[in-house]
Amino acid sequence: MVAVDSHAYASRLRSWHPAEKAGLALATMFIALAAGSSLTEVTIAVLMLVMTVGLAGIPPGFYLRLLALPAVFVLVGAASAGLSVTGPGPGAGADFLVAVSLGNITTGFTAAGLSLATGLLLRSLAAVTCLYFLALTTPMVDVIWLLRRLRVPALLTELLELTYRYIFVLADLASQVRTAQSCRQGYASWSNSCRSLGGLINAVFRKAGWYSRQLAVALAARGYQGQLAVMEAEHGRCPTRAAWLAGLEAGLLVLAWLDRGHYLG
Amino acid sequence: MAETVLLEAREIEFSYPDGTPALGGVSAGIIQGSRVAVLGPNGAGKTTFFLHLNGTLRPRRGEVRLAGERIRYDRAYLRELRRTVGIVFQDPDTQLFSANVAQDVSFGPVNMGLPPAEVREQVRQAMAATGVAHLQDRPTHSLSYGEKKRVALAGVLAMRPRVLICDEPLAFLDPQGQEELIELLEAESRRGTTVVIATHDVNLAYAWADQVLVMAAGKVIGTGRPQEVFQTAGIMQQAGLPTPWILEVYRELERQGWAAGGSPPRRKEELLALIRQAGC
Repeated sequence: MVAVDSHAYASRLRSWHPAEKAGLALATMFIALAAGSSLTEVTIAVLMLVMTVGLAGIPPGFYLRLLALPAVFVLVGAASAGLSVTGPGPGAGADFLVAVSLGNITTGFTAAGLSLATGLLLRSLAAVTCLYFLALTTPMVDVIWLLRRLRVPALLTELLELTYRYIFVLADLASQVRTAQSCRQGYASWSNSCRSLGGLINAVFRKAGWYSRQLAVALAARGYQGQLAVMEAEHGRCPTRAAWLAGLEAGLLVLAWLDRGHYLG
Repeated sequence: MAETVLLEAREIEFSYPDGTPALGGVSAGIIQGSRVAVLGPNGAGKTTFFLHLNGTLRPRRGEVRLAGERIRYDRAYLRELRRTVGIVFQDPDTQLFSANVAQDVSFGPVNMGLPPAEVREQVRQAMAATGVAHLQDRPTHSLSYGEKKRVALAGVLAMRPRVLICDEPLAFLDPQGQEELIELLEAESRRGTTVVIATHDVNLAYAWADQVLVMAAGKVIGTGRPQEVFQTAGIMQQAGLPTPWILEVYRELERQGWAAGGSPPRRKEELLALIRQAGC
């Protein structure tokens, strides 16, 4: 997560208006999920990949490793969706491409099942690339800024902001405690590890409580009045770019319309 | 110029909710425009004392006065008080809440209800004064410890307080970072701000402060000009403080008959000049 955010900070699309990026990612994801056109899904996946790796300059190796994260989940899901099981009775003679029979139960892949699995796979891939485009070009700070602009309740955005900030503080603390523990053989054996991990969790929780109390005092000292009010960051708008992006979405919509029904699933 | 007491504590007593006594009758006056160093061992009550000065903690007994007026604890008054008395906390991670540096610095001015243009201007000036202007688009978590400390200071300076209190501003900083921070405090002091720091560095306190306040076990055990306080053996012993090295060298010079009475030097340059004179 930390790496994703630092890539977002370094991305060449950092300066794009957060609303443009979020709009692009969400609209494209919506088209991918609603289109029912495999060609559109493939187009979207390729487009998002090119924009994230080519345009934003995210290292391809990092991007592929990130794609591998949901891969297991998606592959297992698609495989089990594609698998057909038939017992005795009607439909027993389904046209399996590959099948294993145990008694009168047959398990295997039919043509229909395979196309369902491929369809699922493509759709997931398209949606994931949209999400990654947003995550790898827009730092959390900008996402929170956008949420505030969209009038998401302050309670939620402030919680997000504080959580995000203190993830780093506490992760840092946890790694220091861990280092100190392993310097004293804290992880030298299984039982040592269990004891040390317990101690580590305890230390992080206690320190989190301490931070929250201290933060309350420090905020009060700067005039906190129930809201984490700060000046708004300025994000440059670019109407030309926004128009291009809208055009892109329109193109995808047209493609989805023309290719409607040609769905592998 | 007549010395005006800007901030004053009178016999303040305080115990934490769990019953731990923290302050046992602290009295101290802070002179407007002065540089004050608060010294004393860990647990002496320095931070607790500071939290009384901006109204965060309320004394069980005694009172705090700002420009001669007893401070009140209603919302409106506290708001004004905290604008006047700014505190920079020791651990910057307890103060920096925002993931964005410039936004964090803007928190105080926005709370003061300033119009956006003024907020922006005060943030800009505070960040320039603390040398963190180039960090404004960096995420807070990517800053070094020294940078975080300066951003935390900028967040308080942006409110333009009349009294700037820094709780151990030099802790964990490298020598260069310490040097820079001291220069920052000097500059702020030259602008007329009253600067109060808690420190364990007797050499710094001796050379830098106009007024020294020594605390031990929840009491102020000595206060005055550094030349006087640091020469009072009883105070130094009780607080477990070493003598500033300049003072020690000077005393030895006196014993050897190389330096005639007068006021002892406070800075290295003054001491060296004295030695050069004696050598002739």
